[in-house]
Amino acid sequence: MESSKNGETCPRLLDLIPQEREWHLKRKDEETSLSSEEKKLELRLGPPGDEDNWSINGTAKNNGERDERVISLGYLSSKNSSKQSHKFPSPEDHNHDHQVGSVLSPSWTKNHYQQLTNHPPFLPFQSTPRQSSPAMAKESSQPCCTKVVNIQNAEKQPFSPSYNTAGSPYTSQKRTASGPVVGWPPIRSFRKNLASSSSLKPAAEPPHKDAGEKKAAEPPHKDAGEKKAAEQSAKFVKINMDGVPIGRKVDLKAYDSYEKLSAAVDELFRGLLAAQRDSCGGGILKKVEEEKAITGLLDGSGEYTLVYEDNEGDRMLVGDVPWHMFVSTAQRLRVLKSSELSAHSRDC
Amino acid sequence: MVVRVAMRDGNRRISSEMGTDVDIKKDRRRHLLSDTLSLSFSLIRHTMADQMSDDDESRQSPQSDLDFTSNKARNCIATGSVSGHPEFRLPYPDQVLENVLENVLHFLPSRRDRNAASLVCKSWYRVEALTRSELFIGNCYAVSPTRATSRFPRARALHLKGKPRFADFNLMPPDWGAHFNPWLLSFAKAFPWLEKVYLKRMSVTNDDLATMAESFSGFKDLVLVCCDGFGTSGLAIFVSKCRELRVLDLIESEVADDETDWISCFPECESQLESLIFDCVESPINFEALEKLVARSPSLKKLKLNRHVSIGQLYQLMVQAPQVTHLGTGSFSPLEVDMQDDQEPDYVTAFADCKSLVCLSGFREIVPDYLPAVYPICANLTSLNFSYANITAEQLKPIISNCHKLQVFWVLDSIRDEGLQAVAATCKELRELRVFPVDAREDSDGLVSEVGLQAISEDCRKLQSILYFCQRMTNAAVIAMSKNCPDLAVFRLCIMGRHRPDHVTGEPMDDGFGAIVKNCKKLTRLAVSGLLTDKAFEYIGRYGKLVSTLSVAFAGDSDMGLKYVLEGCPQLKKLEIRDSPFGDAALCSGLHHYYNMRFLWMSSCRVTRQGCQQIACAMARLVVEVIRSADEEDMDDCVETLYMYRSLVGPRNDAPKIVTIL
Repeated sequence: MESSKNGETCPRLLDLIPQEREWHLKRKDEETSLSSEEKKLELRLGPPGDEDNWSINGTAKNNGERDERVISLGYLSSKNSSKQSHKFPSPEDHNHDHQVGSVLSPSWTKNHYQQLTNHPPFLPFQSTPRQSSPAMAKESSQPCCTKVVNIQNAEKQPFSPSYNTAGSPYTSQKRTASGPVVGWPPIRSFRKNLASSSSLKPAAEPPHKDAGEKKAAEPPHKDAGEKKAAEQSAKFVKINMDGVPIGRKVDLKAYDSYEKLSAAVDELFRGLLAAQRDSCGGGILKKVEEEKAITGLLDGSGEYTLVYEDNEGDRMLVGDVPWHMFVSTAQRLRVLKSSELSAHSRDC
Repeated sequence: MVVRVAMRDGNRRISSEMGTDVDIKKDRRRHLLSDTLSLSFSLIRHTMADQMSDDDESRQSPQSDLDFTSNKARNCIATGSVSGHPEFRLPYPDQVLENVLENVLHFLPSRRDRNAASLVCKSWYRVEALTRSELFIGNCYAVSPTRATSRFPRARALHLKGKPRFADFNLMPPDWGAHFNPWLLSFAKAFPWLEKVYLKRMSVTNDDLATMAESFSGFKDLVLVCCDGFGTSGLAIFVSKCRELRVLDLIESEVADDETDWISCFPECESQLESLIFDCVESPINFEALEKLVARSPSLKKLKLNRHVSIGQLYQLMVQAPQVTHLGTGSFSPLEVDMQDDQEPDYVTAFADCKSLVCLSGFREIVPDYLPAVYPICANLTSLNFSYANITAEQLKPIISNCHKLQVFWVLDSIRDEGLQAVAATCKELRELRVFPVDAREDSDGLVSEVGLQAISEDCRKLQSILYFCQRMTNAAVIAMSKNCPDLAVFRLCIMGRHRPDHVTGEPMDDGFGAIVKNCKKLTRLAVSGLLTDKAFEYIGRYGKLVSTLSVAFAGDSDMGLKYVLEGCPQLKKLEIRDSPFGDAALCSGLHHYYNMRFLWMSSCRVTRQGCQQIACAMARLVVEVIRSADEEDMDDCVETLYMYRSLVGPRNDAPKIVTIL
């Protein structure tokens, strides 16, 4: 099914190729490896949804100006559009430089490129098909359009060095005007990703007070953008642990289950607990590997148990109520020694 | 005031043909010199055979790339072999005069004045060369390190710039060049007493940092702006070996995280540190070590922390160093540890105790709840940088309404026009404003507009420099600013959506920028955007007589645009153009001027290889670099990026393959 469908679309594409052939012939000296068959496979597709435009115009523009057909996949010369808009100073065109169709106009190429060689200078992807064609040559003569597209894309990536951290290859300045252009707007990369920054901090960070470690503490997140994920609000509650003088805060909304909360508590206090033990035990600093994990917080099996204070001031065992209810009612957490637990409950 | 100038050669008066009329009021800078300096300069310039460029009297000041002028001087004076000007062979210098001169020139810090002085005669040239302590080299490829070291044997400071500005926006391959290493090696040999290095857009390696620390025993100041290529391990070696370090400023540089605790590597003894700026360092630091460092640095005046320092930690540092004048607050948000048991520190008092604080920045991950802590010092602030703080107008108002002395303000457009109106209402002393976009995409919602610009122009009449990112603008507002702010020297407007016209009238933005160049008589730097026709460039060429830096993107209709500028702007030194329809014809129209410029950048324009080749052949001292995009073949006629600059060295040998030097 697919192949026949592709068979339908491909002839359309192949029809257009002859126009391009002229251009290819001109550059024959550089295209030693290309056969005409391969040239047929050198498809350049406009952005999705523009196929109609492209195919319609393709047959119309038979005046030997193949430039307008040379639209690299997904990358339309921004300069094309800008030039076009300059050529047609009517206001609406300036706003319409995003349209593929508007680029496919003969006068644009005529007026602008007359003094230059016929070769369109601003579509650097002309060369990528040449380079990708050996791979494509292996394709059958009935290329699946999408497949070719994919290959072309895949081939493109290695050729475009990732100069820029903006995510688009160095050469992709010539994207559709609706896509981003390299280096525009002219903001240095460390000033970007501020849109998502919120005033709220994410959940627990690893402690910075690792005793005796010369190594810098693990960075919580490298990228500010990552950090400020979709958190719209947070619920920070204080959490203290028996035997550790320093309290922490956790954001209950950062977790969606008791297990995750338990793991976070372990992470929060493991180092502190170990440090506390060291300082009590005579000051020999233990390495990280010797820290004991804090487990069994929820089922009473571990050395410690997690409890919380609800909005009525009662002390409850963590894990009894559904998670959402817990999040909404919990005001404060405590990590108690399991041995002390029964003592506390007796007192209450 | 026109004065007739003649040179005295000992007792003999040189023939009157050598004299010249000089209007010493023409260039204000000349007033900084003594009369003899300024007059003689003009004479020398007029008479020296200059094979490199048209040397006409209308050119006012000597080039700032010092060795460019040195070559001229050498040709005619220093080497002694003078082509066709026998009158210039002066007698042996008067020793007394030289001593006097040396003392006088000591007071001349400005490099432009020094360049002028060096052109007076051979002895002035020599004395100036001996007394110049800071070397400024605007383009590291314009001159060779050995040339610099041999001319200025007593230099103590080096100020070196590498890549052009567009490299910051990923328009240049990362391995393009601008390596500090050759300069370092040369200077290490020649100037073991070197004290200060300031680098901008250079590539510095960890080895370079180590070499610097080892080669310069009395090294004091290191400032790296927009540099890359090094990491925390290089910093560690550097700080551990530089015992006299006073200044370590890392500004907008990329510092690799080698996971080395460089803060701990500062020597344990009392430190002379006056400035420690590392807000751009992305990796966490050892806070304990930092705290101890600050505690043992009594001279510390500038401290700018990175985003891994929490507000609680900031507090601890502030109580150790209340004498700071420049403070970068780090994240300005708390760690969980900070929020224990209602024992939050008294941030307000900490700020209040910093009585000398005049410059505040940071706020990298701001929790606005803590903003009131800065109220006590608002009244003293002359510089406030909120450009990482995504705050609203409401959050800004209480702060800004107290900042009566504010002169420099950087902010995000999250404050919107309303926030800018609040700024305008209070900050009458504002000299520099920069409004950055929270969402730096072309199709983002514009949060500020012409309304904010208008408000600023109406109330901040002393404005000298503005950088404004927006999505909509009107000619009217820009024209208003041109009239309201006569001191404007830097006008950079970035309408982020490409080719956007005046959103009220639908007209191109020509008239707005035209008004700026026409009315702002002090304008030296201009960046244009929005929909612009050749008319805008006609205005710039006609009125922008002092414009030295021009930035163009997605603008213009034809070659005429660039022609207007190249033919009309005599002070043009740096021209950067991208994605504009200027081609070979326009390129050739600037031949008369290219030796006066530091560089010309054209990317995604219409220049062809042939055009560039023509330029390269016509101008021997110009290095013409063609940088192609990755997948273009070498034979392509189109030129993706043209970067050309004057140079005494000729083509460099460290260019990557993607760069072709014609």
